[in-house]
Amino acid sequence: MAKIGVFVCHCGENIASMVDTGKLVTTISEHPGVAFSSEYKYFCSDPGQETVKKAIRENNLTGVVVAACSPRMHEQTFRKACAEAGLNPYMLELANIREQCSWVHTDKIQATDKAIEITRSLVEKVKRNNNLQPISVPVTRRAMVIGGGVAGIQAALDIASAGREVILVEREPSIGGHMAQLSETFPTLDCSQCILTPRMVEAVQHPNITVMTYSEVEEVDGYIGNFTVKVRQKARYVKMETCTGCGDCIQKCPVKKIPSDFECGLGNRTAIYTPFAQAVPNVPVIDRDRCTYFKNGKCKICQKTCQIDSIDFEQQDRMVSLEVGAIVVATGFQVQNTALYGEYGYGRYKDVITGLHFERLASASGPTAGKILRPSDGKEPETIVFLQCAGSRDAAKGVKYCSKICCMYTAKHAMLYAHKVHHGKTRIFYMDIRAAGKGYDEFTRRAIEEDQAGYIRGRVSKLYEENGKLIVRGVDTLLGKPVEVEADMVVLATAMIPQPDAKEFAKRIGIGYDEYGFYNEAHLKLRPVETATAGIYLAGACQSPKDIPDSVAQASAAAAKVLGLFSKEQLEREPVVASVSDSTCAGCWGCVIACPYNAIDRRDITDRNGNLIKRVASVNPGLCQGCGTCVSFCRSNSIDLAGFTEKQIFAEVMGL
Amino acid sequence: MEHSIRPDSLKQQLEKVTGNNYACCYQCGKCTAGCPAGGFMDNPPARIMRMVQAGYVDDAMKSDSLWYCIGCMTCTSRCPQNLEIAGTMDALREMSLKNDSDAAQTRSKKFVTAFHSAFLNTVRKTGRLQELALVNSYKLRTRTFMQDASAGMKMIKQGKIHPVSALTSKESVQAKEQIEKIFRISEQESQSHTERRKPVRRTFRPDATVKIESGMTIGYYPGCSLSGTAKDYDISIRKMCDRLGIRLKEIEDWNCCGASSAHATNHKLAMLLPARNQALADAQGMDYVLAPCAACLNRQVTARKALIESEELRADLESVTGTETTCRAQFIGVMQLLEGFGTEQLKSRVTKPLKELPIACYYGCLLVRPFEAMGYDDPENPTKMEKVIEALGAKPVDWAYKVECCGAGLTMAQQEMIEDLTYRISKNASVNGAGAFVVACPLCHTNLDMRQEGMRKRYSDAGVMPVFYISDLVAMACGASAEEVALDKHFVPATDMVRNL
Amino acid sequence: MGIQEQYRNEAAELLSSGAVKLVIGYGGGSTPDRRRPVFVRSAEEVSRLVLDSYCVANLSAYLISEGLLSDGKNVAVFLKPDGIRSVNILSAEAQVNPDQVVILGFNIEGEQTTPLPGRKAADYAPLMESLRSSGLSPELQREADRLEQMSAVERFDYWKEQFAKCIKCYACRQVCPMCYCRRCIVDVNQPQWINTSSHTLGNFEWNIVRAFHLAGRCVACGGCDRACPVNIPLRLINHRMSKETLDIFGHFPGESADQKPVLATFRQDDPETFIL
Repeated sequence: MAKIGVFVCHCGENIASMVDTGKLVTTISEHPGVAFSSEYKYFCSDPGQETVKKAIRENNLTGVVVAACSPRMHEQTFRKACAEAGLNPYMLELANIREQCSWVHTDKIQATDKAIEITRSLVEKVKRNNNLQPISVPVTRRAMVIGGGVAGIQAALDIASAGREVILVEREPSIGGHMAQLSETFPTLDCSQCILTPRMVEAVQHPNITVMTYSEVEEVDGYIGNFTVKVRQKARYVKMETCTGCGDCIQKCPVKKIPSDFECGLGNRTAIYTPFAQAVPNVPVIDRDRCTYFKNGKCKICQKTCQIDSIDFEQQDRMVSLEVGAIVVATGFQVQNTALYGEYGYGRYKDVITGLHFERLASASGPTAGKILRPSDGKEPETIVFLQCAGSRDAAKGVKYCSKICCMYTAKHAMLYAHKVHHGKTRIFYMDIRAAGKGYDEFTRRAIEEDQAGYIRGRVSKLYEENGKLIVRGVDTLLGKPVEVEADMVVLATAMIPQPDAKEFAKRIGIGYDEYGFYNEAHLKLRPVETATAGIYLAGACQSPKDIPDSVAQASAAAAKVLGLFSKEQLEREPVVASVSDSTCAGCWGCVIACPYNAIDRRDITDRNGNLIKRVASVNPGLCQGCGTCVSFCRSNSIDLAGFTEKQIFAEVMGL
Repeated sequence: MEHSIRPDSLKQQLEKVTGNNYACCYQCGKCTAGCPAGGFMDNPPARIMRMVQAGYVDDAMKSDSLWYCIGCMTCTSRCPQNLEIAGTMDALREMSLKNDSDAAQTRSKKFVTAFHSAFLNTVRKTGRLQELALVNSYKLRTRTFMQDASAGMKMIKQGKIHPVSALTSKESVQAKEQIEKIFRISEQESQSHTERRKPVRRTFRPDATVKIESGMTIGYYPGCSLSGTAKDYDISIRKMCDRLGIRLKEIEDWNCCGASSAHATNHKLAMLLPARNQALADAQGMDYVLAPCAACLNRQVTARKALIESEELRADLESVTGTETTCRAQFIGVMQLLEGFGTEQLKSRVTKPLKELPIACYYGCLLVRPFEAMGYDDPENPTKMEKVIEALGAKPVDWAYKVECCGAGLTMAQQEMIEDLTYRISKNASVNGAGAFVVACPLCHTNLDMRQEGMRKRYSDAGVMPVFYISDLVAMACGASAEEVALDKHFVPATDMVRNL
Repeated sequence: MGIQEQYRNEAAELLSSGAVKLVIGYGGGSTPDRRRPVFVRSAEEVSRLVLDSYCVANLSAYLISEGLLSDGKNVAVFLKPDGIRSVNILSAEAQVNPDQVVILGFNIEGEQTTPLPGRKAADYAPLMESLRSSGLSPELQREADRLEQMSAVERFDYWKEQFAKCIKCYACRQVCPMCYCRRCIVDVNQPQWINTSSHTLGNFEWNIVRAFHLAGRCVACGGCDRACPVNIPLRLINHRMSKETLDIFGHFPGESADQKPVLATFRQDDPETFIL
């Protein structure tokens, strides 16, 4: 015998102004099965919820319908209230008489009639609700962080300091990412490596963190709380257990002229190398493609030099399979090169460089020991021209979005140059100055007012080389005049773009990405560190262009989500999952193919002797997201969705 | 004074004609930065775009900038939001001329409109540009009697200008009534919409190469300047084709393509004049038509594309010619012809290689822009002409002004600006090691060659740079003599450099 | 040697060698122009098999008989191209193991019956390609065109008239090889989505739901049409659905055994005209 309670909310004036709530209460109280009905100004408020709980207890209600706003607003609120009153929280339905009724109509009489129909249909539905229990899924309480830049390091440290195990996977030989390449960071002008390296060391020494460098994630299987990740540890040809990082092998390697990626090609490295002096772990790696021994079997000087026999040319890649419960993706970004624009030379002018190149020049540990020198002839530039938006905010040739960090780092570059070369002149061609962070606008003003950075509003149409100088043809739109500047060096603030294999990597691990390759968050405003795939989180610039403070904040947020997930041994998931009726399933596998979450498997039903009786589909409740695609596909009606069963929906429709 | 963004019917008209959504312009100024004439304008292109955006179209129409704009389309090709800026200038000029009041005309407007009117008047009368008539009319209107006086005398002596035939209109179109009809239709408003432009990615994609072989006969559209002041180019082209074994068949009764003057003042006229040539080429069964002048080529290619897309244009053309057009004939330039011929074939015909002459390949603007229509080579750093030059044995230099406009059709009305622009081109070429230019356009040639002496008078650090036509070099490398390609008719002496090949 | 003789010999060979345990073919019917399915289990009985231009039924429906293939042995069956397509779809939907099916393929053109080379469904792949453009018989095409010319209201009235005749005998379901669900949706009564009594609304519900369930799966064998005791032109509805899936999604049912169901998969460039 159903005893349904109906609670009609006024929602202030939102509902009450267009729906006659009194009439609704009276009408619905006469509907078969309704044992109690009442109205209130704000049922979502504390006193409102108290009345609901009281009514449940006093009337022994078997089901509750709250006629109010959209379930997306307060379904959870009322579920909790029901649970606290002793009623199974899934015996609750929300009749949306606000977004779907009072907010979209202007005739009170018709709106009231419609509200009555909506409420009635949900009463019919809730009569057929079942006492669903949340599904428990075990959780492996170990996290994996993919990407060892500042975001990855921060996330790993936060998770580890809460007592959980973390595996940090980085594909370069050292952690540190792009932040390790920077000279000084805005707005404090802290030396980048000075603030990063302590964190790097802490990460590698932390008892809860296992750092796997020179390793790549190849496969991710499983689901939240139960991922199986295959990682390839690439062969370094150096024994990590014994190497002390003395650097003798690097000193003696005869192949010295390989352009270093870390130095953006402005400096060289050897075939056996660490990417930079402060590398963590400080164990070198042999570049197989450039090593003389691997190419023609000769040399082996590094092995001869090593006093503790740590070179091993026979090393192989190792595949490791790891069980983790959550994954944080912090794979970072790359900087667009200078070859994008024909009008800026298609990358053939040596003295036209990117912001990252400038960082290496300005860095004290860089190829020029911190002196700003022209790559072409090594001379000090007297005039540097900076071009902002050289690839961002450009629908026709570049990317449409703003790369967010360039206004700030250009101001910083201008300042650093002014500090190092006192008579140097800077000209910065900009469209807008985006300096919205804490201390940012003050920073840019300092560059302009104290360090005399010459900002000119306008974009540059063309630049070319003539007699060793770079002629820059821009415009001052505030004056309305074209401007021509003779520069010794030009720095292009190129776009911050996703890694070259971002899209392919996303497909491998099963998360979504946008048209550019930035990874998709679950909700841009309210869930910026989760993805649509439960258990996989995002941190840092792989999600969108951002600076260091935001990357660190996002990393900590992702860590908090992971720790939330790990706070219990079992994960409770919403029981709104599909299930298959074994007896009627014909095993056509349409649902297996249609499921967007790969949550449906094939299951064999055997008799006692192991003979196959039939093959049926089987839903994994841990993966199922309750979307209902399989239900709509099944021709024989053999699959049903808890919380939205066929009977419930049928009753809801017939109740209208 | 109240300033508000006014919805303006004139602005809507501009949006309709250009397809622009002016709200997309975020005033980055790149158009101004790249405009060769930007420094001369009172309201450079970005300002004009802002004026239109804010609804001050009447102010924009009164601006002097319109009459410094060369129509080189650098602005449009670099705009990050894919706006048609050059087209806006064209449309504003057309509006300015229609809403004209003779009072208070600036010098620029007076001179430039005088040029265009003089040009179009002779075209209207005879179907082709009578250069002497043009010059006379222009000088009368602007009272610039002494301009180019000596150059004019020289050209008459060389036979480039025929006073007799110019005055008796011996060389003109037979079907004059068709030309008159074209002009009358162009006085009406156009009804068709241009497709809406959006800020989307635009990448240059080269068109498929044409197939040109020795022994082929292709159509020939000399255009007005090759029949007159650029007669040396015509002679040179014919010689080159002769050396390559290609036969040329001139289109019968061809008319002037309208060049800059039609383009800059009347959109319909700018389409219909070349459309008639397309109809003639189709009717005469031609597959390819060689148009050596880059401006003519640009107009013909644009008109052919417009004919395929616009029903209104096809209807107008039919009312003029009386027949439907298939748009089968493809107009190509001398560079596309050489590309289709192939550098290997070319190399095999070289008997007198050009002894490593350091040459700057000057493409100019109309060969590569607009890049969607022209489809020839990368609009920022083209390299196809260099490949041809290398095949001939010369040494092309890498330089930065390959596609910077020389001033084109404003050569008479804005002589000073032309001299400034050609000075910069010349300087960059010589700084990068070039000793001569090679061009594929008679107007580029005029500006770099005929105006070089005047330019060097103003800029003492400019060196002497002979200007070759591409056909000169190809023909000579394949065995022709300097006289056979009319090298002696150039203003800047060019024969010394190629003696003793 | 005529095709009947040839295939009888082949059937005898398959049975006596033990390659198959059963041959499903055609035999004489109640009148000279009708044929019935026959099930031959030994080489001596092959004389019951008949093969001529009257053998139009799609025999693939018998392959999904409960338990027939569960002993792992092979079965031979006489199939026209539509039946071969049915086998492909049944394989793709995991109802039949194509390795267990030996196909004696044949084609009927007018009065002529010709054998088709190939014994396994995969052998007929080139044939599938050429079938894409084949259509209905001329009279049926005329009727289909007539329906196409009608307005929506006229068409609805046409089908109302047709469905009024339906007696819910479900013969169409029984004969269709694609209707293999253990419990048909019409048998579900908790809740009852489709009315079982034969009033027009219920008849609409049944026939339209069946047409939807056949979208992208119907091979136009015409079995439903022939089986209907009240002569409702069911082929026309299914033909229309097939046209839709072919036009919109380029899906031709039964062209291979690894074809994915058209309504469970998508391509990035699928048209979205019904959404946008």
